[in-house]
Amino acid sequence: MIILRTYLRIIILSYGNLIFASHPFPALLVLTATFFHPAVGIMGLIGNIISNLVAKWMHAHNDVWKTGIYGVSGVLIGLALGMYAEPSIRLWVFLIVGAAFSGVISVMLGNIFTRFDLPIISIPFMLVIWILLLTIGITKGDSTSFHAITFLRRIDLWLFDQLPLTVFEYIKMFGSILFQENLLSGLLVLIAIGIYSRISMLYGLWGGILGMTIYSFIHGSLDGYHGLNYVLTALAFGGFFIIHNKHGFIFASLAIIAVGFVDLGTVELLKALSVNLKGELPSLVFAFNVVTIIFLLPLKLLPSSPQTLRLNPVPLYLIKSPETNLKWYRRWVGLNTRQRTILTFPFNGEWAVLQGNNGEWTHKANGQFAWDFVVKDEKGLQAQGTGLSATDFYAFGLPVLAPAPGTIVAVENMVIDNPPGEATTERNWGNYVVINHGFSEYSELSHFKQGSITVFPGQIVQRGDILGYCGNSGRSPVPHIHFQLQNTPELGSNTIPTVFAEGLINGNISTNVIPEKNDRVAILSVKSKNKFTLLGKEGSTCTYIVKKGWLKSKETLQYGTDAYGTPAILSGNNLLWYLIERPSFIEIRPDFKTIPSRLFLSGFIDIVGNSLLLPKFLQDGFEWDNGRVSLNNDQWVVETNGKVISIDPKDGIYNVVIKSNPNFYFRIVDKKKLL
Amino acid sequence: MSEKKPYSKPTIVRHSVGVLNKFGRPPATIPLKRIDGFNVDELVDQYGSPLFVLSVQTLRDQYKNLNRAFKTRYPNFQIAYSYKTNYLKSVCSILHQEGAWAEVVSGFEYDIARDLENPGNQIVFNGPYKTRDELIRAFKDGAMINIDNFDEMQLMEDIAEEMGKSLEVGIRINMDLNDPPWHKFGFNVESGQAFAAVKRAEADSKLKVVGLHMHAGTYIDDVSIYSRAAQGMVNFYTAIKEQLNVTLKYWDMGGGYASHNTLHTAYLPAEQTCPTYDQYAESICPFLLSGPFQAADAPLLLIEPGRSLVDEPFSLVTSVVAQKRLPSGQRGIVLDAGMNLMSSVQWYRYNFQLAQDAGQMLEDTVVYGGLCMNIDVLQQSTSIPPVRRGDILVIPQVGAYNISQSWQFIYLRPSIVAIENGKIHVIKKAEEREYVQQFEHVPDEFKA
Repeated sequence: MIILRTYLRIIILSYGNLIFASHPFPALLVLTATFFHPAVGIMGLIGNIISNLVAKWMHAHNDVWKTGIYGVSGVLIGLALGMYAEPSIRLWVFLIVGAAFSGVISVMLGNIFTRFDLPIISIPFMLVIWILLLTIGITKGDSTSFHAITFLRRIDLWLFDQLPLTVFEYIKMFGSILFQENLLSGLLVLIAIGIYSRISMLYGLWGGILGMTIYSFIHGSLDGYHGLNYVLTALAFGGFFIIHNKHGFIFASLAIIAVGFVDLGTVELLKALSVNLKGELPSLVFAFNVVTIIFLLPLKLLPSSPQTLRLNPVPLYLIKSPETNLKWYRRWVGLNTRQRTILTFPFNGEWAVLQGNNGEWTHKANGQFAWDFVVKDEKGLQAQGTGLSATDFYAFGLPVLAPAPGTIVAVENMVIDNPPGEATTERNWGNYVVINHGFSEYSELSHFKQGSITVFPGQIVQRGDILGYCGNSGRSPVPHIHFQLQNTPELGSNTIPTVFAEGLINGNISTNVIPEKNDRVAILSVKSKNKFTLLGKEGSTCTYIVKKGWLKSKETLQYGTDAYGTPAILSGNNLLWYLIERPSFIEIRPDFKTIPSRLFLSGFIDIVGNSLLLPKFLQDGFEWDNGRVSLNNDQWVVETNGKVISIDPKDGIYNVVIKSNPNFYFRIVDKKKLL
Repeated sequence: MSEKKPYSKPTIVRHSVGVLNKFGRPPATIPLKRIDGFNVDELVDQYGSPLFVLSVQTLRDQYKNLNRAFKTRYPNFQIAYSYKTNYLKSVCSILHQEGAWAEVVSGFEYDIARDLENPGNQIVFNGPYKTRDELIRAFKDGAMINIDNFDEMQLMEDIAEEMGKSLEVGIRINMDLNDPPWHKFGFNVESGQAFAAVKRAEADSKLKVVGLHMHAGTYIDDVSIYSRAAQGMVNFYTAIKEQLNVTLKYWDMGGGYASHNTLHTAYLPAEQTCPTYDQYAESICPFLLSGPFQAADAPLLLIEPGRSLVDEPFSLVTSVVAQKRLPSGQRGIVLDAGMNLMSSVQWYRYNFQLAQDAGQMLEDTVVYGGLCMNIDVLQQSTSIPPVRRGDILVIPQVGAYNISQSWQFIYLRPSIVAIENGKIHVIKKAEEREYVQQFEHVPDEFKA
């Protein structure tokens, strides 16, 4: 029964793929649209089933198979044969064989193209259909020899009389994706596209307008216009294979124009080649396939970096719709530009910010993301006694700590300490330490006391290890610690926007902090007996009941690690939430592939959002900037970002409520295993 | 201009040279008229004489300075205030407000700490004599209890057996650091006794050693003693970690930090010899951080300051009740406060400052307390200007031990007031005779 449902779903999804939709509902509309001529519709369905079965039989990649991609060419074979071939008994045999061929070719091309992450689109169809048509003969005219449903035919004819030709042709064009030359099919397809994605619909409409313009410009009139190539290209580049933005729009328009030339050229070529044939070989979707591959391949071959690319191809396995593509892209950019190093303050006790980011003295231009820290007493003074000697300053001689684990890459230890009030600009970094934290992130700490640095290049340091002692060397009029995070180990290189993962800011526990001038800051140290961890045994699972609105489902979360050994939580398919350990918190951060989508029912996506912080130590009354822990009747409850999460140190998360959404809940059902 | 200068009786005194230099004490000729903005004579008018006065701001500053000095040098640090130095509830409470934990050495002090709503796990319980009931209560509260001797260890093992679980304890150790060595408390390291104590505690599962405690001495103005103590602590921890697999949750460096009062035996005034909090911290933290652990897992460092926190914030305001000329020719004055309120005169050469204008002529003077006892001498020899009966003398820096060790002897003990933000709070009312005698009973048979 389940198998039958899976097959049914895949066969329906194959129709959705014709308009770049991967949801059964628009796919059903498309299916309906093929039944204007019932015989043709049946042929399409048979083609679909056969090529899907062949792909399955060949053990095609299961995840790809489930998307219905292998059925696309089968549908098209069926429809094209129905529309263009002479009807005969033999036609059904050709249909079966042709669909099977297209299944084989789909699997072959799928395997080759996957290396370039290219879609096979309808290339298998094009390879099979011309051969078939040449073999079995082509009908003379444009229209099929099969009968349409009379009632619908009449409506269509009536509409043809009512509407201006351009409008009729324009809507009909969407039906031509399925080789349907009628307005009703066109309307259904347009509605299907519109339901699935507004971006796709707008691009489709734009593709039609641009296509008509190009066609009439090159050809002189709209005679013989088939808009399918233009519309398909518009859909493909309209936020589907590449991210929609203004560059994507220009690129899509360029592709549509290219389609005009290729299609008209192909038509002329086929006309010349078809002189000795009974009918004229149709150009079908040749132009769309050629242009899509030619325009997409270079984008796939170029290295992708979200900061620099104007045109962003989307990895095929992630594509759902132009809208989810945009969500994915924003998350991808967000994660790639996000600082990776979990930073804590490089000192013990409470210090004060003398100069913050973009400060008034030296933290300017490319060095703006930096901090200067000093020690102040209750009266706000940095020194006791006369302050004439560096040793009068509280900060002088205090240990300076590694803000995160890493490898020491550079050390300077020989610069003389200045008397207070003087600063040398000759070796302005003074005595310094540079630490490589990986991910192309380097800490630079400056103005150590002469000869006080206790680490050496190549040494591996842990968070909190003493690097040396605070001094007054370099461009430092008063003893202080200068800290910055930069992308290269060189002194004075570009600083990057930096946050400290956690700390006490003016006495309040805060996370992701950017301290400002005069803030009092300290390392947060939480110790409690009730330690909580989300880490479990690889493969251990936990099942929850998820209720979202009136939809209820079960979600099984699994603990695992990704390819690099980073601890992660998986849900069903390969959706990943990374578990990032901070000194006092566990951050649950979604992988950029974890895309929120209305079509996917993961409660965990709603809970985590862009990131979720849970304290590692459960302590009643523990409060931080956007959350708090409380102990109610021996049950730990963490409130964070509007979510109320009940935790058991042994069982992990067992109940989650989202305050703003009373219809949501997430409840443990199988609490045998960890998480 | 026309103000009349006070009259001072003419005396003939020899000019003395070689009095300590100008960086020592403020000259006794400059009167200390105000304490935190309040006129001393008005305080006396209102609350009587003698009178203890607490400057709350000074107390808070002392705590913050000490805390900062250690916290900037050690990742996991906590002050546990030594109650015995001064267990006035207000004093303890102010320090708890600032974040201090409690260090107590008796059930009496333990009760005070609990009354002030300290959770059990923020109380350090030391001392050579803890009763069975006190221990049971402290264990149930989760206090940090440091074992002083083997008999106590036996007692704790019995308690553990009774409670049916393993108890976490600290071991108090001592080592040869100063002269004379402090060997009264805890187990000696050099003799191997301390190691034996940890071994015994760990031998069966009744006790689990999670802490070490060492108190190097009192009024230690040589920071190198702390360095040696810290190094000794690290060495001992390394030994028990390697050989007995002990992992510490805390180590406690005790107290003993000096205040700005000069000892009788000292040559230089304390202003010149007393180390700063930063110097104490610098002498301890780097040594401890070389211990057998990663910085992120450093055991909690506890210190138990008393004297250095509370000595300075308190002043004793007294009045001159008489002056006399001794047969030696030396001048003597009698105050209304004596050793009953100033037990620390046995250690300290206190400073006496007038609260009103007086002459410039200093004279060597014996300061007597008001007790009818020959030994009640507050200062054998000090230079003060001429005074008259009724003049007010302020003795600064008297907060440590004097109040908790004060006796009720022939006089009732005076009021104690605290000053903060321009407000005066009476934190202890003057004693009344009914209070002192309330538990007395004269049986009928004895009645006249």
